This record gives sequence, C-alpha cells and structure tokens, in this order.
Amino acid sequence: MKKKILYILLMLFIGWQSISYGQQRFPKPEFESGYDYPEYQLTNPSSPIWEYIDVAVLIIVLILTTRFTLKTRSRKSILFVAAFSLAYFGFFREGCICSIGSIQNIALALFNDGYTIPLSVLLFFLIPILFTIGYGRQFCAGACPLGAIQELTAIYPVKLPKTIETILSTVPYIYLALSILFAATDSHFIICKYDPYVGIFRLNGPSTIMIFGILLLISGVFINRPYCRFLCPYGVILGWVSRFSGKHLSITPDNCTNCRLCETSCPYEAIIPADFLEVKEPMLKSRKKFMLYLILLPIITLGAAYFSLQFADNLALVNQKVRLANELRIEKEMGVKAISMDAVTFKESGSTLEQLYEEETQIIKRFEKGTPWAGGFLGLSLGIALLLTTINRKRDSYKPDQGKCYSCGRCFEYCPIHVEKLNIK
Amino acid sequence: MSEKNKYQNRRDFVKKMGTLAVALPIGFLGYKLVQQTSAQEFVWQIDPNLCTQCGQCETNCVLTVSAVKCMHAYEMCGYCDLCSGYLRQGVKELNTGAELQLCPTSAIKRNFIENPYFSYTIDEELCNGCGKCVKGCAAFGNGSLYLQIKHELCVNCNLCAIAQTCPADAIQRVPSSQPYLLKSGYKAKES
Amino acid sequence: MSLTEKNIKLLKALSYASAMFSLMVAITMIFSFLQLNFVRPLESPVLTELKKSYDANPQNADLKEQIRAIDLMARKAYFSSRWQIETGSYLLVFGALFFFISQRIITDNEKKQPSFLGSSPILGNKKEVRKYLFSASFIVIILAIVISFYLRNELPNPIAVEKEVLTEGVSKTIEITTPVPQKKIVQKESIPETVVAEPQIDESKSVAVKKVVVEEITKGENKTDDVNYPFFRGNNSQGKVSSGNYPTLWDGKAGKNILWKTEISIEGFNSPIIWGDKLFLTGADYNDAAIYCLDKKTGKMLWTASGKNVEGEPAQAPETSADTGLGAPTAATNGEEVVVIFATGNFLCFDMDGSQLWAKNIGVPDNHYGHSSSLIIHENKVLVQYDHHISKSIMAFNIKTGEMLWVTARTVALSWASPVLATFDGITQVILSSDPAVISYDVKTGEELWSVNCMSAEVGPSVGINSKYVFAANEFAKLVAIKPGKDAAIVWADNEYLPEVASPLATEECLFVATSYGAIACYASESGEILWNHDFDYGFYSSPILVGDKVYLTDQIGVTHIFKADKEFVLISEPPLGESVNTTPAFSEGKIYIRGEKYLYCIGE
Repeated sequence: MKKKILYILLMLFIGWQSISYGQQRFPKPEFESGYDYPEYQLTNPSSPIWEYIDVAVLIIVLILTTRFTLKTRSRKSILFVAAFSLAYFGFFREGCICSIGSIQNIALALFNDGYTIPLSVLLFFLIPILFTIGYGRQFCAGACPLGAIQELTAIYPVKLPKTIETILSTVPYIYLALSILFAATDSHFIICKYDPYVGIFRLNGPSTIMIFGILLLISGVFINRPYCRFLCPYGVILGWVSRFSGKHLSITPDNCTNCRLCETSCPYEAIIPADFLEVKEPMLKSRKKFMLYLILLPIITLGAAYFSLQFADNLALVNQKVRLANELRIEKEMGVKAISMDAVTFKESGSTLEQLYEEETQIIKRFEKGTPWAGGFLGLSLGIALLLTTINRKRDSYKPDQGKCYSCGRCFEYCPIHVEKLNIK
Repeated sequence: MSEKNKYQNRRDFVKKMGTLAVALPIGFLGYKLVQQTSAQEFVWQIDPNLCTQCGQCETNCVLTVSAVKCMHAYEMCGYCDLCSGYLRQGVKELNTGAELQLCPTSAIKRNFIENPYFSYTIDEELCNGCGKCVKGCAAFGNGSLYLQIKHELCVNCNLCAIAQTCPADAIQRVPSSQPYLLKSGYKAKES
Repeated sequence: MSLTEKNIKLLKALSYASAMFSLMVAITMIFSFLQLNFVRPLESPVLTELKKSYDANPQNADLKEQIRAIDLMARKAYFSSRWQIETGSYLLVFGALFFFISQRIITDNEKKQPSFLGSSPILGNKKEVRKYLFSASFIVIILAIVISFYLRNELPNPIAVEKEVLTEGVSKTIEITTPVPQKKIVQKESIPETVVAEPQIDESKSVAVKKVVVEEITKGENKTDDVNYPFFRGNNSQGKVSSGNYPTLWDGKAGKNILWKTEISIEGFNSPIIWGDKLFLTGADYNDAAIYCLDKKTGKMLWTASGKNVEGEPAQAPETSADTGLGAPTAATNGEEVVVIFATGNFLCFDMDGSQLWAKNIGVPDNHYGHSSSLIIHENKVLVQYDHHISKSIMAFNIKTGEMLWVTARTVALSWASPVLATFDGITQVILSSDPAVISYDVKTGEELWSVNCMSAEVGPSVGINSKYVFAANEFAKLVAIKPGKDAAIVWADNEYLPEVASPLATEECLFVATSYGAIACYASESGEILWNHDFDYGFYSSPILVGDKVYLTDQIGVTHIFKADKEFVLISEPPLGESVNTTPAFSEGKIYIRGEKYLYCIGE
C-alpha cells in the first residue's frame, strides 16, 4: 500500500485532471539506462488508387467483352477475358468490392444520411448497368468474377426440370428485396455474408461459407451457373435492363434460317425459338387472360405488400439492437437470464433499458415502412411475369432471351451460319 | 411487307421506350447518389476507448487468423514487474514461466530493462487477437495494451464481420487517409 | 486443338489424380479446422485445472513442469493446425485448378453432335408456365409463414411498448412485489416496535394500507438508535446516526473535550462498536490477537479475551500489507453476543461478559492485502463475507451456536468491502460490492436476489444506501447508483471522484464520496450531478458518517472535518485528534469514540 500512496502523490503532481476513463495507475517510468521507446511500424492500407485502377480495368474488360460477343464473336476470347477477370477481380483483389455487393452500399446510402458512399463503389454499380443498357449482359459474360468461375467450371451441363427451375428462379428476387431492406435499415449486408465464392477467392473464410462455396462450385459443374441463375440479386437488375438493351448478342451473325440446330446449345435455357412449332393459345383467351392479369396486377402487388407487412417484426430481428432489446425484455418478463455478450456489455455500460427500447421502436418502424415495399416489389414481379405470359409475339427466328442470356457465346458454334462465316474468315 | 415494317417499328418504339424507362431511374439514382459520395475510401478500425475485450475479435473475423492484433502503446505503459497483462491474476512468482502467463499463445515477450522496469513487446506472428492481456491491463494496469485491426492483414470487407457482432459497437469506418486509431501518447513511424 | 488418344488418356489420368489429391487435402483441412475450432487446444480444460492447482501449491515443481510441457504441446497443436489450413488451401486451389483445366480440355476436344429437341417446343405451353409461377409463389408464401413461426418471439407492437414504458414509470413509487411479512419481526438491534408487524390487510383498501406499511418498514430499517452502535458504520450499517447532541469541537493533543483516552495494546484497523455501556474492539498482530471490552463511560478495560488458540488456526498468521493488518474486520454485537473475526480465519463469539461461547477457524483467507470484510448480524444470524483467492462466498452462522446456516458461493474477484443491510421491497437483504458485480442476498436464505455488473478492480468501499438506491463505488472503476430489485439496473454512473477505501454515504438528496487523495464530492443522489466538491490536504480512509444533518469525516492524520449534509458546502469545524486515524468513529449518547493508532479516545462535552 505504501507504493500506492507514493504513486497517488506522484499523480497529484503529474496531473490528475484525468481524461476519459480514469487516471493512469502506474506513472511513466524514468529510465536511467538510456532506454528509448521502440518505434512502431504501421502498415498503411492499400492505397485508394487501387479502387480506381479496378474501375479502369472493369471498363476495359467490359469493352473487350462487348467486342468479343458482338463483333468478333469468339467464345474462346470471351473465356480468356473471363479467366482474366477471375484472376484479377477474384484472386488478386479477393472479390471485394464487387458490383453485386454494391447494391447494399447504394441502399445504405439512399436511406441513411450518415453514410457517404465511396465513388468507386457507385461506379462499380453504374458502369455494368450502363454497358447492359447498351449491349446486354456483358458484365455477366466476361467481367464478373463469380460468373467467370462458374462459366469456366461449367463442364457437363445437365437440364433441370422446369418446375424446379421456375421455383428456384424466384429466389434472386427475394434475395434482392431482402438485401435492399436489410442494407437500408443498416441491419446487415446479406449479399456479402452469403457470397459463396469469396471464400475461394480469399483462400480463407468462415467454414460454413467455404463449404457452401465448394459445394456450389461442384454442383456448378453440372447445373451450370447456379449462382447466376438462382441467387444473384444484381442479375435481377441486369436482366430487366438487358431486356431493353440497344444491341444484344445474337446467335447468328446474319439472318436466322430456323435450322433448329441451336435448340440444345444453351444450358441456361435462354434461347427463344421461333414460333412455328408452338401450339399457340387462341388469341381471345390470351386477350382475356391479359385483362385478367392486368386487373390482378395491383391486387397482387398490394396484397403481397400487406402480407409481407406482417413479417416486418420478424425481419427486424435481423438487426442486432432489436435482438438485444428482445433478449433483455424476455429476461425481465420471463426470468430467462440474458447471457449473450451483447446483453452483458449492455448491462455494464450504464445505458438504460428505456433508451434501448426507444431505439428498438425506431428500427421496427423503419422495417414497417420498408417491408411493404419489398413485398410489393415481389408481388409486382409476379404480376408482370404472369402478364408477360399472355403477350403473344410473332417470332420468326431464334433469338436469345435478352433477360436471361449471359452473352457467354456457347451457342455460336452450333449455328452453321456462324461456322461458315468463321471458316471463310 | 409494310405490315411487318409497321409491326417492327412498333416493336422498336416499345423497345426504345423501355430502354428510356430503364435508363432514367438509373440516371436519377446516379445523380442523387453522386451528391452523397466521397472520393475517400474507408477502412475498419476498433475504437480502443469503447472496446470491452469480449474475445469475439479472435473468432468472428472472416480470416482464419484474425486481422485483429494486440498493440502496445509503450508511452502509456508502466513497465511494471507485476504486469497484469502478462501475468495471470493471483500468481506468486514474477518470471517468464508458462504457468504464469496470461497469453495463451505466449505472444508477449518480457525483457528486463533496468530495475524495476520490464518491457513487454508483442510478437504479432503469435498473437491471435483474443484480448486476454488487454483485459488484464485495462483492469489493473495502465491500459496500454489494446486490440486493433492491422491493415496489412485486413481484407477490408464491405461490412466487417466483427463489427456486426461487436457488443460495444466499437468497430467503425475511418477514412483511409487516417487509417489508424491509436491510443494516445503513442509514437508511430508509418511505413 | 485435337488431341491423340494417348494424350487424352494422359489428361484423364492427370485429372483423376488431381481430383484425388484435392480430396485428400480437403479432408486433412477439415480435420485441422475441427481441431482448431472444436477441440480448441489453447483452452484445454486439463491445462486450466492444472493451473488452478498450481496456484494453490506454488511450491510444487512437478506441477510447474507438467504445465509447461502441456502448454507447449497445446501451442504446437494450435499453430500446426493453423499452418495446415493455410498451406492446405493453396494446395487445394492448385489441385482444383489442375482438375478443371484438364477436364475442360478433355470435353472441349469431344465433338458434340447437335440435336433437335424433338417436336415439343422448348418454351413449353404458356399455361404450364403460369402454373409453375403460381406454384412457385405458393411455395414461397408457405416457407415464409413457416420460417416466421420458427423465429417468432413476442415482439410487441411499437405503440404497445411505449405504453408499457409509461405505465412502468407511473407505478414505480408504490410497487410492492412481495407480500408484507406477517410474522412479528423480533429484532434486537435496531427496529423499534412501531413497525406494523401483524397487518390484517383488508383487501378492499389493500393498496393504501400496503403503502403505509411499506413506508413504515423502510423507515424502520433506517431509524437509528441513539445508544447502540453495533456494526461497522452504525446500527443500520449504512453510516447514519440520529441527531443527538454531538460535539463539534475538540482537541486531542490539548485534551479539550476529551473525556478519556485508553491505550489499546495491540493495534488493529477495526472500528469500535458499542452496545449499552460496553464498547468492543479487537487487535491482532503476528504474535497475538485479542478482543477488548471497555466501559464506554470511563474508558476502563472491563475484560479482554484471546483471539488465538482456536482449533484449526494456522501455525503462522498469513502475510498482510501494513495498512490492513491482521485485525481489519470490525466486530459485531447484538447486545447478547459479540462476534469477532481475524485475518487468520479465527472466528469467535463471546457473551457480553467475556466468556467464550464458541470459536472456530473457517479457513485461512488467502488475501494479498489481508481479510478486511467486517461482520454483521441480522436476527440470530451473523453474516460473514469471505472473499479470498481460493474461494469466495457469503456465509451465515447461528450466533448462538456457531453452526453454519447457509453459504452461497460467489463468482467474483477478491473484495475488501463489508456487507451492508438494507430493506427494499419488504425484503431484508445484505448487499456486497466486488468486482465485477454488486450483489444482494436474502438474509434468510442466502439466495441471490439481484446482481448488477458495474464494479471492477480491487473493491474497498462498501455500498451506500438511501431509501431508493444502492450506491457503489471504487477507485479505478466507477461510481454507480443502482435501483435495486428484481430488474436491478444502473440509474447513473460517474467516474470523476472515486473512493479507494472510504464507503460512500447516501442521504435522500446527497451522496458523499471521500477519496484517498483528499477530495470530497457531493453528488445529487437522483441525478448524479456533482453539487459541490472540496479538496482537503489529507486523504480519507475513514468512512463519512451522517450525524443528524451533519457529516463527520476523519482524515488520515486525525482531523475530523464536520460539514453540513447539504447541497452546498458549509464547513462547520475541523477538530484535530492528534493521532493518525484509519478507522471509522462510533457515536453513542452524545459521545464520539475514535480509535487512533495507539489510543481510543472518547470525545464529549
């Protein structure tokens, strides 16, 4: 205790106007042997210039891919560009930041004033979309590292039964709606959390994601591009935009002769055949169905919005604060002790339960505002999809489905006109 | 033929409308967001004043070996013989024996300087970011040991997985121009 | 690129080999991963157990070697699994790369025959597509409902939450959670018989009656006794004495207002206690331990008893630091028995005339400063806070027989604070402060009533009590106000003025904190706002005592600072004792009893 009294007196001299959390217990030592404090080496994070180099590389890769898909029409070249993207954006830059994840940053920035989005992230979001407006899903073909790794390992294509495919292809819409909702309420970045291939790119990652990624990769050998078709939320946006793109990859370089040789070429079922083989629905029935679905559209949209509002409370549980408030409430009312790290730290911090409940209420209100939009969006997509089935267009040639086609160029070699042209060249 | 042309023109028109309908909101989005952008990039850092040394920095980082390491603010250290960040609570002897050490990987090295001062340095190869030494130093010492994210290891995820679960909300985005939140009284040479 | 048959065979073999290689690497990686995350070599329970037993027997060299060997093995296992995972992932990537490239080359080489899909169109019937869409959305809806039921916790409507919060605030003041005790409270120490002990509660006017009863009981606990001062910090252990006419001026050296002074042969930092006309003290050093009983009127030694020769006592007294000593815990009495405890673990009980009733040694407390938690009595139980390195617990013994009535283990660090009695919500509880929590135990059963994590470091001060809150503080930690009860929580916290040893004193309006560097601060009890602070020259180990409307606080050189217990600082007087004082004074019938380093002084007019 005597030593302590000495220190206390020393503190009185040295300066006991303590800052932040208290005085230093043991005073600064006075070294007589000439000991110098060691100089600490700190490494800076990678220079921000790299982000802009990434944007530049992205633009270059997109230009190259567009050239290869639309002009030179060479699948080999597309694959080489894809391999380069995989090596650069995937393994070298370790898959972050990617265009798919940028959706979350956009959502966070739009609805939270405190967050400034870095310019490079915004560009990563916009540039692929701009290219898609012009030329179709070039991003998916050659620039996206996830698309590249799937394309390069898609070796033995297997056809999926139609029911499963339709059911699974609703998942990207739900994924998109939920990721925007969670990012906008500042609760979670689920695209990043459940990105299966980032573990492979980093050669490191939480075990669940690594196992999921490897399994997905192996299944991708057979069910080609599983992430692109059944998970990718960015693909939903690119798909809509690509439907109205100015130019798009075409199967034949010239006019289509309806030779039907490309029918089995696309593992992604993205080729829309000409309609001469189709058993068409009678026009009247189509028109009737069209009117029906048109009337149903707002009903489905609003119904889905209302239905999803019921889940707002549960969805809010994704937020850390809401979970904590819930845990403490359960402890208070039912006596189940709150043992999580969050609860223990909260109790020691001295902030009141009332404050926490207030914050929780605010967050739940935000969820209640946002969830109907998410549900409404899903309802709208369903309604539009139904509506589209009633529109009969005259199709006199084989064309790729502009929403679904990844511009991978697999179908080129099946088209005799393309082969002929190349041989001549 | 003209029928077909008309049909084609109509389709083209619809298509062009569609392109516009799609391009406009994107353009508007871009415009709105550009006002909210910064040229700054952000990196993650732990605020040492908020950290409660819960131990999740070791387990929650997406990397197998966490990017969080213990750092030592030498200017704040008391250089004590009985270092509460190096020795376990309640030990009777003061030496470098394994049975006395708090650090599970023996990452803190103790060196005699002069009487009665000992220096404590951290071998970052061995440190796994568990925070036991930080807890001991904060409770009974000067608090010169603290956990911090090392940028040569951190992959700078879009949303730091540890920040997601930090009970004290201590992990924040900082601009990459000032990438380290250090404890005061700390001399550092940036490389 | 056309390949010959041989090349294809070679490639096929290579891809097969690389697939096998990748598989093996993957399996070893999984094992390393499992070891790292599930077996957790660094936290092996064997090592923890060994370390615990080493702490208990630091002389054991074999144990030391064993721990070192196992620790080395554990660290090796940890680092080797880490290394395996890191290198394994590189190997895996290269194996996979090889495999995929070779497979691609093989398949690219095979010429594919285009085929027609048959006459059935690719796109399928529109009707079918619609059917699929509907079934897909149906499945999604069902899944959403199922998942939500799985996740469903009772998340209230936000509006309902607000209402709940509001009503809570309103009903707080008259909330009574336990029924009013029916049996008569027979207490010898403090509670006067005005307590309504047998309420026939008429249910129709139950609320009003209950309110009155509760107030009486809480007031009753805090009602002070003018004659008896049976515990450390007074008869309610909260540091409050009723106003009597206590002197405010004296001079120890000059003898002014000093009625008598008696030399106490063996030193000790325990404070004097009083019952009736008898004053009790203990003293202990490395040679001897004794209990002293003096006549409070004359200062004559009535009897002394030995605190040694107890069965089970250690051959040599444990080492303590100089300013704690072996006799730090204050004794306790209830007018029929007096109980004492020493840092050797000797625990004795005497009657008022000095005959030993029982004595036992409850284990040598392993405490690097020295055991200092004082004793306290409630009804027929004497409560012992026994926190030391090997075990931490609170125990209750039958004061008449010494038999242990209950013991509750505590998961806390060492504490030097003393237990304080208080009644909240009609339950008499004993409140202990230590790192990391302030915990309250039911005096009848020892059951933990509530606990709040708020403390840290080496806790010396005991808690301060007023009718609403419990105040705990410690230097290098913080000062907190806790609202006690089932949902005990921190009401406010501060860290500007923190006591090292002196326990804080709480009135309804003010909280007084005395630091060991001489500063005294007065906080507002409700809000935690600092009302005033004053710096004196010497630090305080003695705890402040409320005497009527004044606070008596003695510093380490013996000067008692008397000031008003008010929101403004009004210093009344500073009478010196002339000797250093580390104990807390006792107050009885207008006289103040201060134990200095050598002498016990009686101050009166």
